[in-house]
Amino acid sequence: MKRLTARYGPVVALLFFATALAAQSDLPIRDTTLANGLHVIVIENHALPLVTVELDVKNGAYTQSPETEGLAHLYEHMFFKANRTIPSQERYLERLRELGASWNGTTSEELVNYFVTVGTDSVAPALRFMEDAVRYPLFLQEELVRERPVVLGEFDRNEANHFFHLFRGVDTLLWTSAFYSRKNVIGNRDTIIATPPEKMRAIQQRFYVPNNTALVLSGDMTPSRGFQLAEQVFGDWPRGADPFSTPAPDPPPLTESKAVVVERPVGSVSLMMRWHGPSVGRDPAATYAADVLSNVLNNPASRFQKRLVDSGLAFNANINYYTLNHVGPITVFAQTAPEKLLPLERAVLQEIGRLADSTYVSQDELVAAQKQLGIRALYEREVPTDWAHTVGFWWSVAGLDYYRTYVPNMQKVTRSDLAHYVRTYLQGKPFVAGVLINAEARKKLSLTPEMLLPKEVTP
Amino acid sequence: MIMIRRALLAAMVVAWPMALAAQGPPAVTKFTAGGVTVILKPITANDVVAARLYLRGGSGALTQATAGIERFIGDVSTRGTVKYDKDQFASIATATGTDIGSDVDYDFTVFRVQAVREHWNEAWDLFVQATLHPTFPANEVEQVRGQIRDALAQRFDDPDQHLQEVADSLLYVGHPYAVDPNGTRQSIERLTRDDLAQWHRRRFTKTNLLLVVVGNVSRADLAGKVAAAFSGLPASGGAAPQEARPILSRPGLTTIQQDLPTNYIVGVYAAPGPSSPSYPALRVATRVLAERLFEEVRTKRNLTYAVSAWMNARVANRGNIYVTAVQPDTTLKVMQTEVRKLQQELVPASRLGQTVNVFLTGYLMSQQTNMGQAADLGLWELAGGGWANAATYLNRVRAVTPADVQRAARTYMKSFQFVLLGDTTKVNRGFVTSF
Repeated sequence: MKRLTARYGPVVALLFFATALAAQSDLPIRDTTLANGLHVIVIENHALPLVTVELDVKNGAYTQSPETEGLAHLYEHMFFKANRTIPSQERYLERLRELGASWNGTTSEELVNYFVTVGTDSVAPALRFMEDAVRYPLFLQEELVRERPVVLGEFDRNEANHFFHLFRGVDTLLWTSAFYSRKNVIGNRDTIIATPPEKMRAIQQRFYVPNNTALVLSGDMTPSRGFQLAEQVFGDWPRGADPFSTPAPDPPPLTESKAVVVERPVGSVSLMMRWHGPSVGRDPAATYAADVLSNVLNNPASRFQKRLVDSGLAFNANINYYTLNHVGPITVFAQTAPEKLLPLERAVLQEIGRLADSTYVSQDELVAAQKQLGIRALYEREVPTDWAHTVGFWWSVAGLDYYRTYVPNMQKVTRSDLAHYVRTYLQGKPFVAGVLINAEARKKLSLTPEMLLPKEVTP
Repeated sequence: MIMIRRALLAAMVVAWPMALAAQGPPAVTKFTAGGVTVILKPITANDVVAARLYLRGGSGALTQATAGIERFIGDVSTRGTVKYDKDQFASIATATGTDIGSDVDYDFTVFRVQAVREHWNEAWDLFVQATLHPTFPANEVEQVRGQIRDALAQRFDDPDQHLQEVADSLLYVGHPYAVDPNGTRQSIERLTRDDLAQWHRRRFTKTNLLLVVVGNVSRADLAGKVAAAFSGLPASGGAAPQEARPILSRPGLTTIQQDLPTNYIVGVYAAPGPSSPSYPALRVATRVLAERLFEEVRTKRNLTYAVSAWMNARVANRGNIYVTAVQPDTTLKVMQTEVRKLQQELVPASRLGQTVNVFLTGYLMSQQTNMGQAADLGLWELAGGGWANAATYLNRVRAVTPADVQRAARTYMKSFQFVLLGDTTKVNRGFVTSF
């Protein structure tokens, strides 16, 4: 999950949320809400004497204006700095070693999380440790200044990745430049360099309040013990004002198809096409259909794969939907030889145009894909540490009930639901196409963005 | 308090990685079925079954002409078998939630399957078909050839992958590992369908294979399945003609000019393999070094976002220090100071205890999945002197002393072979080669 956020790694990582989702009514997950609004979630798994303590905050890129672009991520870095109990990051690291903790934090579009995994008998001190970090950060000017080059170093690494440029090129068009700050996790250099401690405090006061936070305890922990510890440690954390009394806005609709060619010294040609997909809060039914359809189409035996891959048009091709509450993108990603790029793009659009046909997905394919998604839920339950991150993500983006009922709801999806999803979000809808290609291949094709926007595609 | 708990924890993990309060510790057994060596770790705490079929040899079995052939076989193995065509195979795998794949490495090639217990019989059937009865349909071979060609063309697109591959090529000059098991464009272009089929027939012999299974399956059931599937294989033959031998580090610096926003740097040195008595000490030493580099280079001096030290797990092993930095010389000097400190000063015992605690947490996290446990057993069996060494590993880590760490650092952390990707004018060759 974290690989998806601040780093633009292999695009296959995009499949994570579509395939790794899990929810069943018999899940060993119990939750309660403290009087101050803190949502406490305990995932009980006694396989190993480990517990992951995770704080999930409804913050992230979607709360950013152009003036605060990247500050949710900068805040995540500052979480690991001095607070009222721990005077410096050096002492912070020492304390983590004392706890025997594996630790990290991640920022994404609609979530910031912080987590430590410790032995069972270190849970209470780990909770105190997290309390100090979330409630009493000092945001020392000196530490903020020193952390800037570290964050910029992360930015440098992103920019060294060719796919980062493809994502940025496509997403700037997909969400529009004016709105891009609300999808841009890593932010921009100027904002990071210019940010004073006051802006960190403003973020803390607005978003880092118990009624905007979940505490997830996953592993060797009973619900009663977890709830008790949560009350003891976080019970006196004062409730804050609702950070979303003015809701975060949705991106403006995409009114026309657009395209971008990203020229980089790469060895292959990558095609990315993105559409505006569902927002889980408004259209949860479409999110189930999206996941099922993606699973059907990514099966090597599917009609989609036969047309794009078996035909020789692409070396590989996949489709996925990334669930978000403020418009999640639907992405087709494929890699090909330069001379096949344009035929491939046309074939993708033709297949998109046929997805709603009553014969495109068979009943057997539908059932098999649903079964596979359900079984992948079992695999996910093997790893309590990762499970904490997954539950935290869904709590923030869609709510815990969505997660809990995901599998039964996903299994109710019919072929007509798939067709409805396709007609609502894909078929004939504007999209953004992006191509990552080297200069030589581009020159041979005389490739321009306009060439990626065919006037008319006949299914 | 924490130390006491950790001691108990480690003792429990040694025999009991998935604490099963009711059933007692799962006993790992090694036996032969159908002439093939099998390691079974029965786990009843979950319904996942993980299996890994190892083909011994790795790069030692290959030449430059056959580089990548086992990767090629692995990639095409699910695209047509005696019993199923590609579509049938994919449909059953989807409907049963079965994941099948393969990986190549310097020491072995591994075919893996993960399934739920409910569908273990169907998954095993698919796995046997893919591993033992691939038919290598010509059109699928060509399609996979194109995919591998494309993947190889991208291998230097990612600076980190580029860096690691160059480092390997420098460290393993003249060694069996000099043959990349992922293949080269030349080798992949020339390998024919017949080459794949003949290689498969020659290499898939009983003595060349090792099966590791972790999950809720009985020995009797597994032994029956293995005997039925593997009995018809040749008893022996096809062994790798070369074994991985220890390597020697040679100090050096290789620079590759690239227009990047930062510089990617790795320094590698010859390290002991998992079967060496020094392995736990150097593993702990690299962990201490990684923590100190994070503290000094990132936290105190803010010279980087990414700095680390680690050790691979190969027979002919490799230790690493790594950083991305816009000021390579300044940064590498700090890193050298930390290496020297580790070599010249004893790590305080209390600090070492903390580091070992963190290491134990990470190790346990890697053991959360049945596939993770199977990979661990396979690694120790093939590269670490036997699977039973997995059971004693954590105790050996816990027994590492400050003097052991210092000795390991002095013995191995030297003659670094550096690779820099980025602005080649920003590094002082004389200084780097003195590392």
